[in-house]
Amino acid sequence: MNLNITAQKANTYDAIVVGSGISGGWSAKELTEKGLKVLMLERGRNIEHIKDYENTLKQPWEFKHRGELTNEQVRTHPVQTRHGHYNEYNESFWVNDEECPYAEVKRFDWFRGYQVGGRSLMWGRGCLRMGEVDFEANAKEGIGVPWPIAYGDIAPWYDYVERFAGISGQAEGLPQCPDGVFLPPMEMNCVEKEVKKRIETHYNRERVLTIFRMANLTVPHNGRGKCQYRNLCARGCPYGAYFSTQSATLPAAVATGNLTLRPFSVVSEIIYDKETRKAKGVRVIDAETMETVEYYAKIIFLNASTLGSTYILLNSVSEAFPEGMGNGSGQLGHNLMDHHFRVGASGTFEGFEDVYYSGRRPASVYVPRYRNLGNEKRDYIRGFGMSGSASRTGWQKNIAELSYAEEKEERTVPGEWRMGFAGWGETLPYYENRVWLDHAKKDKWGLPLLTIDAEFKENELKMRVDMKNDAAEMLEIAGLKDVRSYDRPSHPGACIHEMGTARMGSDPKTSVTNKWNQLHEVPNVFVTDGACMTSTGNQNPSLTYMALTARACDYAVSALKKGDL
Amino acid sequence: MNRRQAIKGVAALICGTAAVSTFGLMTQSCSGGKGDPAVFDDVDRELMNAVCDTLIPETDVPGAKAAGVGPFVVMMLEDCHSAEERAEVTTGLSTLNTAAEKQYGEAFGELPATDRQKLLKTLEKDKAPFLNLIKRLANRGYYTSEIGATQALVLDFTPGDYDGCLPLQEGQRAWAM
Repeated sequence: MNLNITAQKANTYDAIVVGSGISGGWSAKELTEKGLKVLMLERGRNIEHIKDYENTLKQPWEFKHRGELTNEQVRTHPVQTRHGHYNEYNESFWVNDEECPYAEVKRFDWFRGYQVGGRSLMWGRGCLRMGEVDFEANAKEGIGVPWPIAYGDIAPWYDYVERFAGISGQAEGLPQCPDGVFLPPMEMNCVEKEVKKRIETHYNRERVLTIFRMANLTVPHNGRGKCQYRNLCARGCPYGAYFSTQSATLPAAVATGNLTLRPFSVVSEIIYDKETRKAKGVRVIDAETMETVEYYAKIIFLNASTLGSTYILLNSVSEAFPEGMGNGSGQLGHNLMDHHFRVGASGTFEGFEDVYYSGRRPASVYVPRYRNLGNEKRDYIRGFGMSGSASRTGWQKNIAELSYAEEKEERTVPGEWRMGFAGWGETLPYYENRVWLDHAKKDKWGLPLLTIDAEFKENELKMRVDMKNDAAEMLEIAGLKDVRSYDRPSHPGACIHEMGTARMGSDPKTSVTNKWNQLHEVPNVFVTDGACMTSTGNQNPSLTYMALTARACDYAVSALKKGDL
Repeated sequence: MNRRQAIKGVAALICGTAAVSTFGLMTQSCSGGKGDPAVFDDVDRELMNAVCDTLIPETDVPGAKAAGVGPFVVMMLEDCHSAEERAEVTTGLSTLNTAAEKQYGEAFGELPATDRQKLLKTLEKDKAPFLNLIKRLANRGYYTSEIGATQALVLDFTPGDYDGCLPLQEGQRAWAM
């Protein structure tokens, strides 16, 4: 009996999914439901649904620092603490920067969640479809490479993933932000409804204010509970009321009996078989024991996050691929994008003093893109969406001269209404915005460090002028007073919508993956997370990753059955 | 010269010589103990309690004292702020005490609430940074405490539903979160 063959058999699956976040969860669900034996590898620890959401039921006073960062947290998490995403309520969901370093040529805020579920546990949950105008823009304007798919190719897959995930929202009939399969929308408050009326009247519905489309359930859905309006999503939801790997895709995959989940598995590279010209498996470093293990499969789905997936490809070098697997185009690692934001305005609304609201709605309101559509031509290309919300101030309000007892009383009553808008803008693909591996520097697993060099450029900076002025203008038109606009520093990465570096395209000479998310050069390797994005649109991208993943899984399994893979 | 500067001055003199060990208090100063303005001593902690209790007094709802706000602010300064900010706060507290003694002949903590309020209001008007910082932390500590969140404000931890247009009820308090 040959032990090696036995061992190899034990480590062989039909498919390997690298990563367990939003897209990895979808790969696991789709492939297992189609009958494949799937190994899902996750570099971090396991997080069990509900049981491991350790802070989800804690009252405000049960947090020692009431949500503020400690000096120690800033020391161990110098990147994760750059913005408010990481905090005392969910600190264990964010990567330890000291343990997992990377290098920045220019500032790039790389937010990572290394655990089962990845960032699906703390994501913003905004779910917007990209529209026809987004898929056509690169080709029309000669930017980057054309998308190899049109809106019509992905539309049925948007339907498919929305039906399962459960997206609440309002249909508006806007082709630049297409309607989907929606659960009932969340409600706007009185001021938002009034602002909506005034804006839509003034702009003749060329600008529309709608409730944000969210992966939060407004009604029970597929065995998951509806939103309880706690707005504590980022701690993990004990009702399973927002879409995450744990609440949605993982249970579906587990139910098939076809899934093996292996946490603490750092995939260092994909193993290439030059005889078959296909990948034969992956090499894994056990994050705890440091042992190296190989796993084998007919197909491999890379869902390790945009930069995680590209990292693995760059580190998968062989005689055939000295510059990284599937990098014949030289585009692997290039065209890194993220949305730019932190620009907008806010003001005070007079009136509606006699109304309030109850419940904490985990959704903002949204003005879908209206710039550079039809015949409009600004001094930049593409566009942005605006999100905002209205609320009454509470104990943190500014208080004029009062005795301290009066001040205390004043802090306990609902204050003035305030509303803001902030823009989220498209970023163009630039070849020179890129990542590469620095082999001179290694992490604790002996793997080379990722180096990131990216910046926003002229088109983004010009767009920000409109984002800032439009936010103020719309608030003023809606009747808000004391409107103040701002444009705060926005560095790539901070939006946590990093995309590109293994872009899709029809031409193997200029793109890394084809229209089915397969590496042009290694057909049994699929990249279906943000790495594959050819352009960013202005919409929150996760829903698009879900749709592309489900579509690619469908293709992969039928190709496998036909013997094409 | 305030108390701290005085202690520091003496400590510097003594630490500069070999004859350190006979003065217990002063030897601590040399190793960054009592005399280190970035470290809160008992006097500072008492002063902090008095300041917080003045900022958020007991009314028909218990105030800072019952909610443990003074110790919270000190803990926050220790865990979340820099040595420079802590030094600024302890120095500010000493200055406050000096001013109290000068104007009223008594330590800040011994004064009636109206006088304590007057002193703090003057500092607030001057935008004293140490007091701004204390006030921000004190408000956070109080309104997120069990007393602040459930008695001063109203807490609905699991609302269950969202109502966007609710007529404001008589005596309606602001939501705690």
